[in-house]
Amino acid sequence: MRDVSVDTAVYIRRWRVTESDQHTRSFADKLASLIETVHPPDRGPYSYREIAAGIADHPGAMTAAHINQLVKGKQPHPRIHYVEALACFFGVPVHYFFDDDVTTRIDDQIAKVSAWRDEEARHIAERVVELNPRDRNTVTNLIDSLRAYDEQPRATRRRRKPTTTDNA
Amino acid sequence: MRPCFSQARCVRLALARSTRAEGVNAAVQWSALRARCHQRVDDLLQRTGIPYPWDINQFLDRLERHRGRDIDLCAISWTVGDSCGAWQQHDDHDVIAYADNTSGFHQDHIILHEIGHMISQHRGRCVLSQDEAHRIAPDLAPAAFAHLLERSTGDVEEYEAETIASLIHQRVRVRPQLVIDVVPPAAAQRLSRVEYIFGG
Repeated sequence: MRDVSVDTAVYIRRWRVTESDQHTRSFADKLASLIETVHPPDRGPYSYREIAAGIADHPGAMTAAHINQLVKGKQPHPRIHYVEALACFFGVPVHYFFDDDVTTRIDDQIAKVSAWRDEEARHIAERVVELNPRDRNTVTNLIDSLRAYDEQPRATRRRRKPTTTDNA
Repeated sequence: MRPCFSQARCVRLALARSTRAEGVNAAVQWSALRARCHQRVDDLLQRTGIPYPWDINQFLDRLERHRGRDIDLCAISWTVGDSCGAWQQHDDHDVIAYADNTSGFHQDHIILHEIGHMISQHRGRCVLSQDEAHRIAPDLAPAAFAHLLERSTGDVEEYEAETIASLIHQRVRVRPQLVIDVVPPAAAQRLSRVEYIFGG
């Protein structure tokens, strides 16, 4: 149990306790659910190999075969750094795997984002300058500007670039 | 050759790069991509021509007539971390947002980039404001949004749009004689003679 903080040790204990409860979802079940739901809209779920590549730089890096065993439930008690690596890859809190209430809440949030995504009207193509992943999907200023622009009547809004001497 | 911008991408996209190498259908044919972009630009400019002297507003007027759909330009103020351009499709018109706190040349390039998406019929992706993201899914990390909202073809589409923007901009600068298309033949002949003597 080296390298495990007090917090995670608590989670592990709690998880082991709940694991014995037949009404809770298993680790394998939760991981399978994440793989099934969290993927880009124009392709299917990530393969084990893709996930392994995605966490290659994480302290909890593991092989595709290992991920396969986790999903199949052949290793019901993975070490905490493996769990952290998977949580990090999918962008969910580590508690997702330990606390059924969190699992339910997160699953619900994932479903909401997917539903939001499928509203065609929100889709835009972008010219992205800063490729910081944190900012790529949350473009506050751009969306606010577009929304304000949409609210102006089409007949009165400026539709073209103002002519300036700076023009190329 | 791979586009240099993909180097700067996030962990997930670095992963996409490694899977691309092993997938049979996933490998992007960059030369085919460039050829495709050349073809699209040729097809477009054959219909619209290029205004001479160059004027993005006139070019948009011509593009509107060619596509039969209005295109409105929405000036936005670019801030660090935000996108500097966007194309949003509406039922009966398109809106192109472009940063106006940059050089005129760059503004035109942003607009041409969005036109690149437009003529390539890219579908775009869903974006959220930070407030919206927090409201809908307060517990999800950016990685989750990246997985759920990014299209896996996203970087190829960005590269296509950027290539198209560059190709159009190149024609603007080096081939103003395209304007001869809309000049009567006799005048065009005189013009080309003048160009021959004084340089095009």
